[in-house]
Amino acid sequence: MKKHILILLLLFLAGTSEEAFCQMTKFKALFLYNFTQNVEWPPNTISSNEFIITVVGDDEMAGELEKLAQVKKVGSKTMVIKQTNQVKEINDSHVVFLSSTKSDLMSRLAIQQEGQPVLLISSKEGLCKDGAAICFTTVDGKLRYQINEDNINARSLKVNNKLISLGISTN
Amino acid sequence: MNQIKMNLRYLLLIVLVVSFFNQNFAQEQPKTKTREEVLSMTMEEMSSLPLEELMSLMDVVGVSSLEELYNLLLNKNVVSASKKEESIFDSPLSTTVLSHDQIIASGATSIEEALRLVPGVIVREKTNGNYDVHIRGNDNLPSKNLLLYSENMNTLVMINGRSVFNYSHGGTLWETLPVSFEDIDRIEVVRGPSSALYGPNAVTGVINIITQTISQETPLISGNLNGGSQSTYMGDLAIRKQLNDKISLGVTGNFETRDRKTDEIYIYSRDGSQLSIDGENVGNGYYSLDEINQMRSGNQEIWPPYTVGNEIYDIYKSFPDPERSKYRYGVNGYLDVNPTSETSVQIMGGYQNSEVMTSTMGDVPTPYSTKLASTGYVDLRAKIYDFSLQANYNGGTIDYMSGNEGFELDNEQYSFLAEYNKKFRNLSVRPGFSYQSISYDDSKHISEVGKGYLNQKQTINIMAGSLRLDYLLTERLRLVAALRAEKYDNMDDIYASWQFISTYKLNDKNLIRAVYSRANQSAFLINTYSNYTWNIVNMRSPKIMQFDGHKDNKLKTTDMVEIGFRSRPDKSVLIDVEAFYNRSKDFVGLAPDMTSLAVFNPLAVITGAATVQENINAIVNLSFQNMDLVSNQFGASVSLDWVLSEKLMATGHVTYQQTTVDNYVPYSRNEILYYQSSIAQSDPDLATKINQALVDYATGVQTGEIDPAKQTYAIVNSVSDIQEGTENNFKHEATPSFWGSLSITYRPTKKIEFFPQAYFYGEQSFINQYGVIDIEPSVNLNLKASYKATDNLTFFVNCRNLLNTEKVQFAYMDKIGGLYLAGLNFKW
Repeated sequence: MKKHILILLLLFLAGTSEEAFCQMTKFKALFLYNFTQNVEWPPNTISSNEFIITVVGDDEMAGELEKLAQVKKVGSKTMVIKQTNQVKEINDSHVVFLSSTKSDLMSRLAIQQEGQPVLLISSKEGLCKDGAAICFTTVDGKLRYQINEDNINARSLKVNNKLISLGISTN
Repeated sequence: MNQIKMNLRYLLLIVLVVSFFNQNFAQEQPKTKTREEVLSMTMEEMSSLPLEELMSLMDVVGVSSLEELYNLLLNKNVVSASKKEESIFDSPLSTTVLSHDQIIASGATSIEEALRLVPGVIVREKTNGNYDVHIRGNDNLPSKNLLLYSENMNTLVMINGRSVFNYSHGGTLWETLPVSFEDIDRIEVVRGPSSALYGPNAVTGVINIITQTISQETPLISGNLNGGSQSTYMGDLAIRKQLNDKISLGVTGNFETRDRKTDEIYIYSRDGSQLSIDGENVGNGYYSLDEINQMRSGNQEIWPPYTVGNEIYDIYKSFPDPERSKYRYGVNGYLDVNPTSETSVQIMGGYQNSEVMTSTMGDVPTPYSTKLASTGYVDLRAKIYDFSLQANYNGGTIDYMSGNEGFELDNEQYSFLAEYNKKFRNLSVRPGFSYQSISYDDSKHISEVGKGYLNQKQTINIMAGSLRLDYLLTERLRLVAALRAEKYDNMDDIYASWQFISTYKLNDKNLIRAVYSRANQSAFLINTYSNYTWNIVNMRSPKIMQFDGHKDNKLKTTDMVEIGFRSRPDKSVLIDVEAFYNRSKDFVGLAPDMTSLAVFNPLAVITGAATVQENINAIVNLSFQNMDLVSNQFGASVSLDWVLSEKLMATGHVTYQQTTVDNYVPYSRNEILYYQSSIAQSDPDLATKINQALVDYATGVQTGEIDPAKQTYAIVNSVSDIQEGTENNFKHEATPSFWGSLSITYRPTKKIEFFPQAYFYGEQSFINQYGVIDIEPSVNLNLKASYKATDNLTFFVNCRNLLNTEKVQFAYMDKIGGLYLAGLNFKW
């Protein structure tokens, strides 16, 4: 009986806010899409008519990107969202998004994609040192991103100054 | 004290006024859209916006409190487990991170108390603000011995990787840590032997206090002030500034003062003699200093004054402030220089001064002592590409037992560590080299050579090489091997420590891990170099105790096997389970080597001016020596962090453990001495030997071989036997069989927060050389309630031991009552 009262009390105190959490994923997807507008890939290195974004280990993010893919293109290319749980399964991609739960694989991902024109983005902060180009972070309750110009340039990508200046540089 | 209170009032007033003006004159940024308007926008609309506008919209929405809570509680990073930043979920060792915000929210009034939030760490309060902290317990070994062995000599406490260990006796003098909450970014606790990563004394684990990085987001001024019952007042102030992207500066200061609820101290009869005051018999118990000053043990004064230089050492010198449990202050300076993205230099220096009344590290008629410390440090950390270097100095003066000659020592410690971290494809290689030189010197604080336990400057040097390999064999399987070999200047042996670890991710939500590791203590000055002659004036027998160390003592070593399981069944929950077994050997303890009967004042006896009967007494030789004792401990910890909603978080942990010891000697020092003494006294040839000793002494004096001014006794016989009957599988109950914590964070509104916590432990039985103390189970209820008046100012009330249970948490120490505080946190 006491246990039930405790559970009821917890549920009463808790309230719920799953909706608020989903906003974060939605904005990360919007940010990611916006990043693609500010980065230039070498022409036709991967696919001539598709812009491939691979999401590793994050169904919600893949879902939000799918919604975007239905209404937006990257340049003239159709956005194609791929999902995987394993880094070794990643094929040619323009962007790879690594979930927080896979953050230990960033080094492995960076090495596996060495020299490839791919923008590596992590959901977790602090992974630029492991090869990420952009890492999402929060500062004082605001969504921000860390950006490493060297890691971007090393993959023959060109990034505009706006993207650099709006982010937190880790160079 | 009144001056401090007055200053606090002025400081409080200034904080309130500045905060008011800061809040009221702050300019509100105009917002183009409301949160509701942003949330009503479609993906297509928002995706067409330039990045800066999108960021502005996100700022309007804000990161959800839930997201922040997940990051705060469940998605922390840790560095100490692998010496590289990684998600705590991926940590290969049993690891806990307490963030700054978490510590502040908890209402912990000290670093030690904050550690009650960490699974496996048992924290017992000795006197107001002074704590015993042990990782997984296994404490007070060897038992039936000095209170010294209740100190935690098995955990390496560090500040930014700088050891703050006390190499004199072993242990951590928590009050001498110069930093406080405003300095701290997080506290990382790694459970299990970790010498392979951090060097000696990381036997049961490490506690690494990591200070804040000064960035653009760091407030220029921040701090806290609070005070309340038991004349407890404490506060922090930090002034920090990132001057540009290459240079940051900071200064912090902190103070703390606390009183006990009594000014009396406990007295026990160490040799079984009847205690009396003014001829009236009294028993063991609590007495005022004036009463103790009049007290006798048998026909001896229990605390006779004596002269050291021009100063009288008496009970009042030993306890200058018996009503005060703790007084300390610290200052720290920070300079961070980052010339390039690949190089950084961080310099930190500081000073602290402290006086605490807590458990003694020596052997006096009371379990209490006053410890005085005045120490400073300089720490330099540099990172140059893949090289990391750390060099530091710690030094100062510590009086471990005020008013007892021989326990005040100057110390200086130099440490140097160089490591290189090289990454190959899936392999990280981290070779390292370290050197430590640790010196203690009591010669400036003793009236003559022989009165100190070192009587000179003594040094321990440790040189070590290490290698850590971290291999991600597959995306799920990680293998780690860490090895370290260290060489001490006084021992031929090279001590090896290691960690062999594997982690396997069953999937993104579940990880299992297995560890086999070994760690060792370092040599301690007292164990290695003791050379102390105690001419006893307040005990019936023996007359002289000679304490010696051994340079070839083996170092205590612990082997551990651990398996762990970490699970995130839902993004709002993190569960950690760890089960461990460890075996420790080569303990060092103080034990009798030999008891001798001797005739004191032999010339007086020879000339007939005195009798043998009134001058025969014992001389005892003791040493800090290896014991055959082996401890076996198994146990498990379970912890749960659960974010139920933006309003409610629950965290809890519980640890169960059992410890047994083999080769347990069920006799105290005195019981062994009585045994040896009785054999010596019942020697059938005693009369003959006494005569022979006197003849030999007289002959020696005549031939000049004996200087009667220096050698005032004639040895009659010596006995080194000890009683038989060591025990195996002896249940060691100094650590409770279970303990843990349950806490809830409840935020009914964005401005109000409640943090109730229950810290609990089972019964324990503490054995030292003067008795057995059973300590009953206890539940400590704490509650902190905070009101965030503005973004810069938070008021709080904080109740520690809300129900004022008045229970002893640590053997022989104070009953711990409720502590009721009010205060504020501020930042600009």
